[in-house]
Amino acid sequence: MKALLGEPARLAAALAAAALMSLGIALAQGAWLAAALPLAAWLLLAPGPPEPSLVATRSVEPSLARAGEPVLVRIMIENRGPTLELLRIRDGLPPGAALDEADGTGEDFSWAGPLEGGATLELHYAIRCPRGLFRYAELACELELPFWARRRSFTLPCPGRVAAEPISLAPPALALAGGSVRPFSGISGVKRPGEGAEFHGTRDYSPGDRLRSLNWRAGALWGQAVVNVFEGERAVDLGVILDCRAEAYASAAQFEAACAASLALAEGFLDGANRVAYMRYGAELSWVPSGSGREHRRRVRRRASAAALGDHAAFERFDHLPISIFPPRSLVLFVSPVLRDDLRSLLSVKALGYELAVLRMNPDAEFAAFATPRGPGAVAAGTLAAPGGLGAPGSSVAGNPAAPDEPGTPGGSAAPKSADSTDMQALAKRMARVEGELIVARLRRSGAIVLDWDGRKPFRNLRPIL
Amino acid sequence: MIAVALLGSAALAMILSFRYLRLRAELSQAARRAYLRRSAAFVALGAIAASTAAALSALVALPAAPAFALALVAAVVFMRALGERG
Repeated sequence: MKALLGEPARLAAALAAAALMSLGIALAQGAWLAAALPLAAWLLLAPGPPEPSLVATRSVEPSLARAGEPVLVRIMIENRGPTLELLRIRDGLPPGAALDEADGTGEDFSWAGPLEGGATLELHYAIRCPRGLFRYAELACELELPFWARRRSFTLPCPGRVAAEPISLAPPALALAGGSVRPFSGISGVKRPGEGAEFHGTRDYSPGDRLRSLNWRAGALWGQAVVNVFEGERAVDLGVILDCRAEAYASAAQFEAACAASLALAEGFLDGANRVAYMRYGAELSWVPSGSGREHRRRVRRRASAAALGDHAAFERFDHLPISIFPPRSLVLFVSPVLRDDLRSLLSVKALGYELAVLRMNPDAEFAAFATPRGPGAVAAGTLAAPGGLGAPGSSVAGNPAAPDEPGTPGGSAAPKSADSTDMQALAKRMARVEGELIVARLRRSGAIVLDWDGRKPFRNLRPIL
Repeated sequence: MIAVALLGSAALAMILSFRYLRLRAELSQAARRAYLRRSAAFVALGAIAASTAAALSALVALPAAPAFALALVAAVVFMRALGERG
């Protein structure tokens, strides 16, 4: 019945026909009953919409875009069935995405029109996405017979994926030496004797040495064959671990900054012909094994794009870090605000023989430049707390500043309470800062390379704390 | 009597007109023409059928005669639906 009368026009016709028939029965006059005849015939003779035979494909250009850049979504719909007089298509946008200004506003893209049998319809529109990985699943379609006012709603599978990378940052020029280096040349700041252009020293000649490396003057002086030894930078293995634990971050903007920084560091090392592994640690474990090259860079970018804050009981601390996916004695770089309870786990990584570097996302900073609307999995700025540590400003370090005073508490007027609250917050921030400094000091004492970024100075100017 | 019988056709014409105005932008030129052609034909045929039924019912002094026509239409639709399912 709903299918028959669902359309307002059909409902109106049914009501009119019923009224006319009722009048005819009440007045016992055939003319009224006859008047209902056209309406009833229109209602009853209406055929159902034909079974559609549509095939939809979607392409996204570019599939890996920078956050905020326009992404062109192209949909091809092939009609393998009869002609469709009126087809309506609605493509819901991924959460957080918005139509480009030229394509209208709203949370979805819609189109309506006829589609001939055997024809192919091409639709395209542009969207702008915040950082994130967005998936399209299907199109919501509605087929309508205009004259008979009959509709058929159905969904058309049309998968697609858009990945929006974090904000682009220029990587700092860091010389983060790993414990072991690869035999190949690379820009890492780690110099080893061998192939290279810079003079390293001299040594006695041994068979196999190139004659052109003989140091004739030294040989003449010392009476024995001496060769020059050169040195050059070597490629290293780097593992970047992005902390995605929701409890570690004070704001969503801080997490966005961490994503951008982790990707910038990874790409900076990839630019230097090093091998980079990338891991997200938070609600889930997701990693790209160590590698290099263009395709590997795309994989790393996708991982960074899809990073989302989350919680998991098993990953509350870095205790369950599958560190063995990184090559032994390689450089492991944590990008994290670093909570108090993380110290032990971080130092255990160092104890396992890995070279440890930590990019600490300063909890005191606001990272205002990264405070943009987020994609799926992200949370609004200012809604995160750090119950496990003192890393977050405003966290409840010395009691709950926002808690109402107990009845009968001295000085219970509104103004003193507000002043108390402000004082407590200031004290909490001060203690958080002191604890952060302690964490940094302990990391440095253990031999870790520590970088502290507050978002105020350019990322490319970041240098290790000495 | 005839005027009363044409009320239904008029109501149907109004409904179809409103629908046309609402859908016009979404329809192709061919679909618009087909819509108008079908509407005109259906309304005209409906008016003729209703007038005939009203006149017949008055002629044979059987007010329920149009109801039989309605029942006939319903039966045809029912049989067609059964055939489609079968």
